Amino acid sequence: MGYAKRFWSGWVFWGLLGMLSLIFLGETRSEGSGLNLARKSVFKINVNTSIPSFTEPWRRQPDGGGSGTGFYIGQNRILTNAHVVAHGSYITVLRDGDSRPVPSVVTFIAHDCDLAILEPRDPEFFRDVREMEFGSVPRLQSPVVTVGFPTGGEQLSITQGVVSRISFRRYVHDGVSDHLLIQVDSAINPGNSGGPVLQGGVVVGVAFQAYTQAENTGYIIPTPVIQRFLKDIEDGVYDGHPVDGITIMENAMENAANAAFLGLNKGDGGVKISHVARWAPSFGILQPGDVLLEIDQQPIGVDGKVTFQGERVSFRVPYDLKQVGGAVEFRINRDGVFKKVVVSLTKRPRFPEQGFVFARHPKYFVYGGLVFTQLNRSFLKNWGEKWYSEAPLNLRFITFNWPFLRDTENAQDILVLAKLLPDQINTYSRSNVDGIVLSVDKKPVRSIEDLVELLEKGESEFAVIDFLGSDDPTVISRSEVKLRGPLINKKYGVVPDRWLFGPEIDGTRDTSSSEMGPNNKITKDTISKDTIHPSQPQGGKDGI
Amino acid sequence: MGFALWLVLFYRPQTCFAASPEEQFVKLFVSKAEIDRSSPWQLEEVSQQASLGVVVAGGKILTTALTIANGTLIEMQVFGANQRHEVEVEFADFEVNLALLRPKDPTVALKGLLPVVLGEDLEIDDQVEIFRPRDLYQLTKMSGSFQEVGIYTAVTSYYGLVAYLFKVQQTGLGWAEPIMKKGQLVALASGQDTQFVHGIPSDVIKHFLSDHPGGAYRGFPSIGLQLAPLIDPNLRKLLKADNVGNGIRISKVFPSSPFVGRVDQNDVLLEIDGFPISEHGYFQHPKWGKVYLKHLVTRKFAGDSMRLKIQRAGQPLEVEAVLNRFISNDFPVVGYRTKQQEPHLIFGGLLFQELSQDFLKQWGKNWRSYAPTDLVYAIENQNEPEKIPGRRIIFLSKVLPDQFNRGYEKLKYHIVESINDRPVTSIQGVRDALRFPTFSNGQQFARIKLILEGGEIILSYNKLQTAHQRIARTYAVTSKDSFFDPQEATRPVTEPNK
Repeated sequence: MGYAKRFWSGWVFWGLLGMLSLIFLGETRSEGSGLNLARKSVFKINVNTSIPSFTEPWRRQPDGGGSGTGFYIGQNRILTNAHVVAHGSYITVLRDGDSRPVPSVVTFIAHDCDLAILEPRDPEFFRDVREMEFGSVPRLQSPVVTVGFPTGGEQLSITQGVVSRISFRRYVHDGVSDHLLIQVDSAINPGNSGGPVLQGGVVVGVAFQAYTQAENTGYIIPTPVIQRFLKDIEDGVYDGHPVDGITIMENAMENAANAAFLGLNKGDGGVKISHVARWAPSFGILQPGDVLLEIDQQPIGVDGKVTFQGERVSFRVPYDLKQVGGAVEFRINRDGVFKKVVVSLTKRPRFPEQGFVFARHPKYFVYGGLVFTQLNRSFLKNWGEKWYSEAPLNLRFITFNWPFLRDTENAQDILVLAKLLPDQINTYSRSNVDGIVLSVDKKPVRSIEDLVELLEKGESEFAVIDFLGSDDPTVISRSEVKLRGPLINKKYGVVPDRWLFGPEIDGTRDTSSSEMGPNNKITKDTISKDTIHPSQPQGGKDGI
Repeated sequence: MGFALWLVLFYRPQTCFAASPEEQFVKLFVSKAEIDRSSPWQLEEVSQQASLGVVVAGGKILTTALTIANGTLIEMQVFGANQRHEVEVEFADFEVNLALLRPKDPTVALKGLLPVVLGEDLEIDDQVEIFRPRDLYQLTKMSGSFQEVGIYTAVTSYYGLVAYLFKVQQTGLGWAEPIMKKGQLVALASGQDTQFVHGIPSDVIKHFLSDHPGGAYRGFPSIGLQLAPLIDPNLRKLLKADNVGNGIRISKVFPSSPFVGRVDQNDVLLEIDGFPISEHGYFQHPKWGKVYLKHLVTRKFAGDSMRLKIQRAGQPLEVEAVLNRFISNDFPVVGYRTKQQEPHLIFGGLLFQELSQDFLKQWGKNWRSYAPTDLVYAIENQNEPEKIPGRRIIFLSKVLPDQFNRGYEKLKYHIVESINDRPVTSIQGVRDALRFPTFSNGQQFARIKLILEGGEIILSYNKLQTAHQRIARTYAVTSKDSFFDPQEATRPVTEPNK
């Protein structure tokens, strides 16, 4: 509910009829026909949600629900936002002017780019409905029309705005992914999510999030991201955006000393790498100190930008829009030597999920009443919206820095002792609650599977669990856990006692979701105290 | 001679007649100009604080070290008198937050005043009187009751020592107010936490005062051990300490500890100087009941020996060592700065500083939440006393934007790993490392490597002097010492344009 409350400040509602007049006055005939098409091809989506608890992951939070918008893209498919249908337990779609909601299922969901495909169970649902076509990236200052079912009424709403910015920045749904997006000056309100944004009768984006600290600042997912998603799922599996794991020192090459040090010319441009994560496809190919000069023959400026469809955007955009399995060519300078390198965009190896979790359960393991789970945004939200200042220091530090620390750079999961289920065998283990697990019996824990194996298969009587920054281990008796573990689980309703799988999503066949993880590291700078929220489904859903 | 003369002047047995508080306490006026931590070449706005001082034997005035920290002018005024007299800091121990002041002209300044008598340890529920100034002429007396003792870190250091907690009705206390019982000084207020005033006990004050005369101040000691409660029966079994019912676990032996080589991590500390230690680290105090063992340490002087009874893997051992003086500033993150100084160095507009608590306190009372996470983490997790003190954590605190450092303007709060491939652990170390430029393509460069994801900054030595002059003008950096002098570089800096 918190999102929804904040969202209301300053939003403007334009009535349907008045808006139509404005549009018809200002737009071409084809826009008008496009809007007529939109009336038939845009649907209201109602969602019931069931979200897991992130401190007691076997439990569910109280049921919730909300609504959003979707539109027909052919082949019995409705395109919408992932955040509209995430954690959906029962989903229906409704045509404008119709009274009969039709149950639907999510067939693909991409939490990294906040898109999803929904298919109504009734094959007759799309009778007389024409698929909407996609256009290209709209020009700056050009008008666009947002169509959807925002809160405040039942009927289709249409609002007009102007494209004000094209950039590469945070998609707040999973909290950690950056992609190309377009800023528009029309208000995007709860319920608008997943609705088409039109120009000249074709779709140029999907409305998805808004900046709540400024008036009329909405964001839409542009067609290159949508088309990348649709291409990605053609083989029936969503692989996700390729991860890069490259940290750069922004603007460093603006300083002439950098160029002179490497023997570059002033006009060579480029960005300097400060870190390459061990899980990055480019690990072993690129290295800190390298200067990225070109990506796929496009020069990279000292501001890290390339020209993309006439606009200056981050060099990560052409990388990010590739499919897994593709390749990127960089021209680099290393220690004064120019060279070209090719990075194969392999499917991402497993590394700790930092973003929000949309799985049936987050990974967890309960051992003798000790509840271990993943450290990620969903867990950190236990400390509220300001987790970046309110959460325990160790958790904040590791969230920002795990790829750079020897103890965690190879980790597959960052595990935290989330809580104790009180019992006589764990009475004295409380001091390490909220601690990051480093080792069991001095053997490093790099994944939840490691943790389970080391705890369950260790042969000594006592399991000694060490935590980051603590000289005070948790010691638990294995024989006592064998005796009382099942009783503790029964007493607290822990079923099952572990969930070791990656994200299992919402009854769909997609296997990705937040497993795809971040394209870029979370940095302190990206944690803005201002608030950008996904355009909340009407009614609001906590935790998204 | 001087000491004896003052005894004659001031000594007046309490049994004869009681002195009034206005005859024993003076009002202190301290002008302060704190260093501006974010622009350390300048001072903050001048401020003035009023506080209290207690006249003690020898013609001195006792107050808290916090009162006089960074004072530029300290004056005293006798209650009811119109004249202020300048006083000097004779000695301060910031570890225990106590300072001794000396009037420049004691015969005039202290005329008619009487030294307080220091009282004995209080007993729980003792009623006390707390004094604070009402105006320039008289004091206000408030009542409080002694509730408990605890171990608290002094506000001016990392040193934990025993503090009295007095329950009071008033707020705004804790600024060196004298706390008296039956006309004797039993504590000096050092802080307030809701309805409890914290007081530095007379026992600590006596320790401070008795140590001072003679010049060679020994100071308060430390055992250099980190301890953790040993209440978990599993851990107790693991350490083979389940055959004894008491004892606390030694979780770390700091390299600076006098017990290095004598005790190990996971030893169980059973007794200190014959006092049995509980699993939570308490001993039984004859007046106060359970008191944390630190009190047994702080009662000693640096140079005293201490005997520990420990148990290692089930076997009892007795060890003894001579205690070292505890010095907060031996920690990598400086605990306090007593003078108007903040070590720093500017190179091409990049401002390097030594990480200190004072710097982070710019983020306010909740600096642990709001100050930059990496810096707070360094304080909380990488700040332990070392065998050879002097290592500091160096960080790039900000960049003073200039054409020389363009591209780096947004960098701030990054801990520095090395400069020109030399690890830097002090501002002097930064200066030294900058003296050895890295050569590439016939030019001199500074390579500044930051930890974590920070990357490497490259700056040229070319035109550095000109840049420094420009930066000094733009940002009003008047101190020449704030800048690295390019002349210090091992080879003359070439200025191609000249």
